[in-house]
Amino acid sequence: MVEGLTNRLRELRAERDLTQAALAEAVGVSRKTINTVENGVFTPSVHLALKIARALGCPVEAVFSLDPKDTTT
Amino acid sequence: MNANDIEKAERMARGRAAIMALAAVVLVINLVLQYGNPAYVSADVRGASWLVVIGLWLFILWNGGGLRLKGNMRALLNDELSLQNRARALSAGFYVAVLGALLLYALEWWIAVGAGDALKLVSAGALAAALLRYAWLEWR
Repeated sequence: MVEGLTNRLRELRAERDLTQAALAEAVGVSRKTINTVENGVFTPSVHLALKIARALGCPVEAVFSLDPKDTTT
Repeated sequence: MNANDIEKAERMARGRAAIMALAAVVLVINLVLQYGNPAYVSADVRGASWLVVIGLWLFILWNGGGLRLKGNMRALLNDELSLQNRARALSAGFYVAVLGALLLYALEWWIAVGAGDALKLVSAGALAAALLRYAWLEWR
């Protein structure tokens, strides 16, 4: 994951009672991709990030955000 | 696309990574066994088989393989993460090729290495490194 970037994917997915496989199916990627995004191993493209946010029914900023400690502009 | 497709793609991706790791090992074993033997770098079928093997694995590494699969399955197998892993694997292969070539260049000051063997060392080393790196990235 890019340093200073955090995500709430696991939390948001759990709130919606979605499995990784179900979210992967909705977005059109492998389950491993969702897993690595959740664990911060893989940083998705803007395109994929927007698709994930749409599948979760929330704005992309609710899923991905900058670390509050990162004050660079 | 359904849950079965997701599961199937996951199994296939793991299988692909295992085959790539195995190919890397076979490539290195071949290289060791054939090193220094002029029969394996001569202008005949045996010498040309090296070109076919390297070309084939390079092609698979470049496009991910599975050309006979349906579009959606291929898309799942070659999704964003897989493409990034392949790019990282190719990058590793590039560095191994350059470092291997430098090492051979220096080695030539003391030990005579034939051109054919040297090129096989560089190409096999680079390809094996890329294949292993890809397998590792896919398995972790």
